Amino acid sequence: MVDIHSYLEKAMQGEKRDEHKHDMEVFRQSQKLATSHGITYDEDEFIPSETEFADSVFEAALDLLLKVGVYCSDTGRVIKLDEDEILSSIKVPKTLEIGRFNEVVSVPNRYTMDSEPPVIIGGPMGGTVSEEYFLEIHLSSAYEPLIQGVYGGAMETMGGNYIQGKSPYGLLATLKEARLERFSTKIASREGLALMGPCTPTSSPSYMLVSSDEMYSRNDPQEVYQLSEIKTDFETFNKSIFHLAHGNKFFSSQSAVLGGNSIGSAEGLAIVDVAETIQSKMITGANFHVSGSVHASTNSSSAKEVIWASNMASIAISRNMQHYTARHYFNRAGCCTDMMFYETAAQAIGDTVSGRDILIGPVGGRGALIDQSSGLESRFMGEIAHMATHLTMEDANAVVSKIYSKYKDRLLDSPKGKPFNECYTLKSEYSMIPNEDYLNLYKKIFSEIEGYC
Amino acid sequence: MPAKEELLVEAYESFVEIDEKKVFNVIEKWIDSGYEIKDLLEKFAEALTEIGRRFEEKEYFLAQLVNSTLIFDKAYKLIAENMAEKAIEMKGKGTIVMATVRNDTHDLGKNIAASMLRIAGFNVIDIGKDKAASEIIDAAVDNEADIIAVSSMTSTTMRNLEELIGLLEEKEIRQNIKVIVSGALVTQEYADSIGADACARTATEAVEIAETFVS
Repeated sequence: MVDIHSYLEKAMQGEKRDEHKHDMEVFRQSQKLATSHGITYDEDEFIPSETEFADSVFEAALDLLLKVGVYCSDTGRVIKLDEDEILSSIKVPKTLEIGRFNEVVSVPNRYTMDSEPPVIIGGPMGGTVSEEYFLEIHLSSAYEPLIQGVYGGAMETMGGNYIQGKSPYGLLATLKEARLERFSTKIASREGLALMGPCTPTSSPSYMLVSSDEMYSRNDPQEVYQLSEIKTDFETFNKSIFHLAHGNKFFSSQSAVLGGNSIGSAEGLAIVDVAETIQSKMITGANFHVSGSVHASTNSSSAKEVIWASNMASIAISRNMQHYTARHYFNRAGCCTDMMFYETAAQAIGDTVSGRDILIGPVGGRGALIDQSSGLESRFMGEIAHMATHLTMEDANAVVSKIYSKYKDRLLDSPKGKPFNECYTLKSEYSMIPNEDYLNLYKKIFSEIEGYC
Repeated sequence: MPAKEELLVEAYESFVEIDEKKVFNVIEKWIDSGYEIKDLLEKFAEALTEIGRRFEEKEYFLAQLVNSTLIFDKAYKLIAENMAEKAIEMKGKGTIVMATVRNDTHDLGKNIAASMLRIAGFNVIDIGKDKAASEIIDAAVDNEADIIAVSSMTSTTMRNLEELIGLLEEKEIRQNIKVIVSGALVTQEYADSIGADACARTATEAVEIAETFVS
C-alpha cells in the first residue's frame, strides 16, 4: 500500500507530457535501445536460442522504463521510476496459490525448458460470449480435467439488450457473468476452481461488486487491465488499491500492439513487453502479469514476430526477475478449424519451453466474434503444453516452424470457424460433448504434432 | 556549397529512413545554399509518399508512419518560417479535425488515418480519443475545419456519432462541414442512416474521400 501511494503521488505531481509524445518516446527509445544492446529479430527462430540475448532485452527494458517513465492518462503526467526502486522490486520473492478447496493450484516458478508444466487456464478469456450460451461455454472448460482455472468472457447482452458502457447495466451484467461462472464450477463438481476475470465490466464499481466469496473470492485472480505501451490510469489505481486492501489475488494485464502507436519492430515489442511486466509489478502490486501482445495486421497473438518477441520476453523475465507471467492466446481463426489448433500449438510450445508460468485461452476470431471458445480448444492447449515439457529449445524451434508453416499464409484471410453451439452437442448442462467432426479434427492435429515432437 | 542533386538525394534518403537528425541537417544546408525551397519540399513529399507505400506494403508500422509525419511537421514549420521571411505563402489542401467519440479509447485506426491524411497534404488537427461531440465541434469551429473525421469502434459508443451530427445541425453549421465516420461496426448503410457524408473503412479510403470533398 505504501508503494502504490508513492506512485499515485508521482502520477499527480510528475512531469506533464502529451500522450502522443509519450507514445513516440516509447517508440524511439525502444528502437534505439534495441540497436545499442545488439538485439536483433531472427527471422529463422521462434524461440530465441541465445538466451544471453534475453538478458540484453531485460537490461534494455530497465533502461526504457528509466528513460520514459510510466504515463498516467488521467493526469497527463509521468511517473518517474528510479533504478534502485526497480532493482529492489524485481527481486522480491514470489509465491502464488490460486483456487480453493480441492482445486487449489500452486503456480510453479518456471524457467526455460522446465519439466514442470505451466498452469492451464481455459475459458473465453475476455472474448465476447452470448447470454444464451454463457453458462455452457464456461462449463465446457470447467469439465476439462487438465484445466486448472477458468478465465471468464465478456457478456454480449443483458436481457437481450446491448450493455451501454459505464452504465448501471454494466453492474447487473457483471453480476450475471460472475454468478454464471461460479455456477459452472459447481455444476462440474469443481467447487473452488479458480476463476479469472471478470471481463464484462467497463468501470471499477463493477469489478468490486463481484469481489466476494460467492463469486470472485480472494483466491480467484481478479483482473486489473492497464493501458498498453507503458501507461496507467486512475481505474488501475482504483482496482489495485481495492485488491491490496482486501488481500485479493489479482493480476495485471496489458496488450502491447506490434504496429500500434509505439511499437515498430519485434525487438521493440520484446523490450516493451518486459518493461510492462516490471511496470505492473511495481505500480499495481499484482500477483502476476498477463501479456496479450498482438500484431496490428492480424490482431492475433499467433503472428511470427509476436511469438518470437513473447518468447524472448518470457525467457528474459524468467532469468532476471521474480514475477509470475501468463499469456493470452488471441487466435486469428475460429473454433473447430485446423488453423485454430495450429495457432494454439505454436504458442503453447513456445511459451512452455520459454519458461512461461501460466497459459490462458485460447479464444478464436480474436475474441471479436461471438462464442469462440470451447473446453476442447483449452484441453488441446494444455495437452500440447504438457507434451512440450520434454522438448529442448532447438527441438521446439523445429516443431513450431513446421506448425507455423501450416497457417502462416492464412493469417490475413483466416477461416471463421464455428461458434460454440455448433461445435458441441448440448443436451443439458450435464451432457455436453464435442461433435464427432470436431473431435476427429482435434485428434488428427494432435497426432500430427505428436509426430513432429 | 553542396550540389543541389546531392542534397536532394540525401533529403529523400534520410526522410525515408526516418533519421530526424539527418533531415534537419539537410534542411540547414539547403537554406544556407539558397536553393529554391519548393524543390526540397517536393522531395520531402516524395519521401512521405514512399513511407506511405511502405506502410501499405507492411514494411513500416504505424509508429514509423507517425514519427515521419512528426518530423515532416517540424521540417514544414522550419521551412514555413523561412519562407514567411521571404513572403512566400504555403497552402495546404484543407483542414480536418479528427477524434474518437466519447467513451471510445480505440485510436489505432484514427492515428493511421491521421498520418495518411497528413502525408496527403491535409492540415490534420487530431484532438485525441474519448472526446465529447461538443469538444469535436468546438475544435472544428476554432480551426475552420472543412471536414470532421470521427470513429467509434464499439457498439456501445456508436450512438455518439449520431449525436455529433445532431449537434452540428442544432448549431446550424452542418452544411459547412463534411463528416466522415469510421469504426469496426460502422457501415455505409449506418453512415447514411445517421446523415454522415461518408463512411471510410480504411485510412486510404479516408484520404480518397477527403480529396473528393476538397476538390
